[in-house]
Amino acid sequence: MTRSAKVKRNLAAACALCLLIALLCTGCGGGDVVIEGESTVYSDSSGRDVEIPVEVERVAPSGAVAQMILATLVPEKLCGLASTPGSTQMKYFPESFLDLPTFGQLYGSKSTLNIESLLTADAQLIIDLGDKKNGHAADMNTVQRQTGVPTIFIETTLEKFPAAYRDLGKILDKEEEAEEMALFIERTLAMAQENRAKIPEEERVSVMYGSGTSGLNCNARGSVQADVIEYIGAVNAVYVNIEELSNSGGGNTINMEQLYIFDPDYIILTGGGPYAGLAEDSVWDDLTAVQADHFYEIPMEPYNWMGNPPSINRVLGIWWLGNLLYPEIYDYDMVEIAREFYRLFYRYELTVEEAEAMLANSSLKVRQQQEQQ
Amino acid sequence: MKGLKMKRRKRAGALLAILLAALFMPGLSSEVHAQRVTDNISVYVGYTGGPYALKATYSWRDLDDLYGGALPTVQEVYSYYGGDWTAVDSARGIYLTDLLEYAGVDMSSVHSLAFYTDDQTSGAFTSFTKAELLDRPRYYYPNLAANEETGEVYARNGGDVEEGAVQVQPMMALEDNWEKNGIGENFSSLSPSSRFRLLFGQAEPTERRTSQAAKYVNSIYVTFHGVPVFGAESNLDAKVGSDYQVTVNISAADSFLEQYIQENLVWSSNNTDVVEVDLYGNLTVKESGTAEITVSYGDVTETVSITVGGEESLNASLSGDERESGQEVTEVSYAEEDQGVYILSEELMARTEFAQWVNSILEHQVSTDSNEGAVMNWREEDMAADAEQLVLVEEEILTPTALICLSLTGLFLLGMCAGPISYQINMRNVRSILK
Repeated sequence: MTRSAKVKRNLAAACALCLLIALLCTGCGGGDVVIEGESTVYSDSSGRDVEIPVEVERVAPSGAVAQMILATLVPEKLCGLASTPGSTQMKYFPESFLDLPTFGQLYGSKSTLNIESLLTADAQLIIDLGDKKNGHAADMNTVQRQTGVPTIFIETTLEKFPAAYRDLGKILDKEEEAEEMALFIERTLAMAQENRAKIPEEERVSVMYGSGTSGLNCNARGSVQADVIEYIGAVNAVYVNIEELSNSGGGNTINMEQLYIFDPDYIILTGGGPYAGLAEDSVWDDLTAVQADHFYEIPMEPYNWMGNPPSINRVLGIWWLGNLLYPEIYDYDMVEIAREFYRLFYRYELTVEEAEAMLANSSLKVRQQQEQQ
Repeated sequence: MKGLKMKRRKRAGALLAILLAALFMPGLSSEVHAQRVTDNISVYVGYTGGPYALKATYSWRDLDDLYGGALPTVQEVYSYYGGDWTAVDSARGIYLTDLLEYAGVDMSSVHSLAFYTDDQTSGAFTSFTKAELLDRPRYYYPNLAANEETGEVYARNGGDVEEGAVQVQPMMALEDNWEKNGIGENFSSLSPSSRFRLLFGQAEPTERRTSQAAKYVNSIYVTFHGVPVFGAESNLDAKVGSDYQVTVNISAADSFLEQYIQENLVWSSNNTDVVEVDLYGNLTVKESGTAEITVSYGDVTETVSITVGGEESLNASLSGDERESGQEVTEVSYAEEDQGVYILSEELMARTEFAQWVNSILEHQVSTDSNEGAVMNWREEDMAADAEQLVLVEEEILTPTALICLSLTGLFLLGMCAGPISYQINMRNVRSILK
C-alpha cells in the first residue's frame, strides 16, 4: 500500500470513528448532570435511561401539555411554568402560580426556552409529557445537556394517560393522588370504549370542530387535537391531505365553500368564535348542522375541553362530546361529571351554577332540545 | 508539491469540519430562541443621544388591577394588515399613556418612544414618534380582510372596509389572543405568553405595521423634544490654591432627569497643569494660567473659562475719584509692589467676608511680624489689569512714647488738640470682595 493510500485509509477511519461517537452520544442519557442525594434510573418513553433524584421537590414542565398535567398532581412542586395562566384561568390554580418564573417551551421548532429562569429556579427534574415525536430522544438529550437537569419524557396519548399518571406518582411521591386520577381516566376510557361499540358505523355522526373567531380553523381528521371525536364514536367531518394536516391548536383553515362540501351533522365551536351569531348568519344558514340547530359552543375553562393543548383536558372532553352527540348512549349528568373532574384534577369546587354556565351552549342546550321533542 | 499541500489542507479542513459537526450534531436538533414573557417593564427618559435615566420599573402585578395593581386594565381589539392576510388581536392590558403618566412622564414633552424586548438583545425592537403612535388616531377595522393572492384589502362583509371602525388607544397588553385572519373579538382565550405586548392598531386599513406589534417588551425609552439646557458660570477668576466648585443649573423636561443629569455630568479640563476638575465639578487650581472646563451630558456641552492668578488675593477697584490723602475709601485696589496705608470705610469693614479676611491676615502678620506691632507687611499680589492705583496716605504712627510726649506737651501747651487718630493699616495684600 502506498503512503498516500495509507493516509487516506487512516483519515477515513478517523472520520468514521468521529461519526460513530456522535451517533452514540445521541442515544445516551444526555450530558453530565449532578444529582444531590439518592438517585435512581428511570427508563423514559423515548428509550432513554435517565438518572433522576429519588426525592423530587422542584420539577419543571417542558411545555404547556406537561404543565397542565403536572399542575393537577403536584402544583406545589412546580418551580416554574411554561407560561403563566391567563386571567380567566387563574381561578382554577393556586395564586402562587402568578409568582412562578416562566421557562417557555423547552424544545422543538417553537422553543422559547428561558434557560436563565430555569437555572435560577434550581429545578431537580424536567418532565416532558405528550405524544411521541420523531427524534424525541435527541430533543430530550439536548434539553438535558443545555440545562444540566435530568430530563425525562413520558408519553401521554389518551390510552397511556393512566400509566403516565402512575409513573408520575412514583417519581413525585404522589402515588395515592396519582392512582385516583389514573382510575378516573381508566373509567373514562372504558366508558367511551363501551359506548363507542354500541354505535354502528353507519350511524356515526359527523362533526366539524372549528376554532378561532371565524370558526373556520379546523382540527381535521387525524389531528391529535381532535382525537376525542373518533374516540367517542363520531366522525371528523373535515379532512385534508395528510401532508397538509396540522396538529397545531388552530389546525387547518378552511373556507365556507369547503365547509359546505363537508356539511357536517354537528358543529362544535370554541368560545369567542361565531357561535352567538351563527343562527342569524346567512353564510352558515344552509348548513345541515345549522338547520338542525346542532351547533354548540365548547366549554373553555380553564382549558378547551377538546384539546389545544391536547392534554388532560381531553379526558373531560370525552365525557362532554359523547353526551352531546349521543345523549341516549352517553347517558349521565354532565354537570356532575364536570364537578367531579374539577374537584379531582383542578382541586376546584365547581358549583352547579358555574357548571351550568359552562354547559349552557352545549350539554344543557341538548337537554332542552330533548325535552322539547 | 503545491498541489499536494493543497490536497492535504483540504483534507485537514474536512476532518476538522467533521469533528466539529460530531461535537455539535446532537445540539443541532433543536433551535433555541430567546423569546419569553417579561414580568417587568421599565421606563427610561432622556434626550436624543442619551444617556437615558431609569425612571421607573414595574412588575406586571404592580400594574394589573385584576391582581391588585395600580392601573386600570381594559379590553380592546386591534386589527393588522400583513400583506396577504389580516390579524385581529383581542387584548387586555394598560393604555400606554396611562403607564407613562403613572411613571411621571410629561407627555407634552415627549418626542418619540422606543421599545426594547427580550427577543432582541441589541438595540430597540421598534420605535415610533409620539405623533404617529399616540397623536394620530388609530383604529380597529372589523370589516378588514385581505385577498391572500393579490394582497388587496377588501370589506369582509361587503360595503366599506372602514365600516364599523373603532378608534383604539395603544396598549401594553398583559394578555392577548392574536388570531391571523380572525374575525371579531375573542377575549375567551387570552394568554399572557406575549407580555408585555405593544398593540396599536391601524391609522388606515392599508397600514402595514404588523411587525412592530412588539412582544416581550421589557423597556420603553422616552425621548424628549430638544436638549437639556445648561446654565453654568461663564468666566471664572481663581487663585492658586483656591477651592472652587463649578455649578451648573440644569433645565430638562423632567425633574427626575434633571437630577440624573446633574449626577451624571462629565467634567474635563483642557489644561490640567493649571486646573484639574473632579467628577463633581470641584476645581483644584494648581498654577497660573488659563484653562477651559467642559461639562457635558450626552451631546450637550458647556464651557467655563478659568483664569488663574498667583497667590490668593482679593481684587478691588477704587470707585470714584476719592484719592485724596486720608480720604475715606469704600473700595480698594492696589498695584503690584504697592505698599502703604489705606483708610478703609466702615462700609468696607462691615463686609463680613472682607473683615474676616483682613482679620486673618492681621492675625497672620501679627504672629510673624510681632516686632512691628500693628504694622503689617503685606504680600505682593497680582493685580487686575484694570485696577486703579490708589493714592497712598502717608503713614502716621504714634508710638506710646510719642503719645505720652505729645500728651504732656499738650497739657503744657493748652489748646493743642490731638489729631485724629486714624486707624492705620499697612496693607500689602488686600483681598477684594468688590467687583
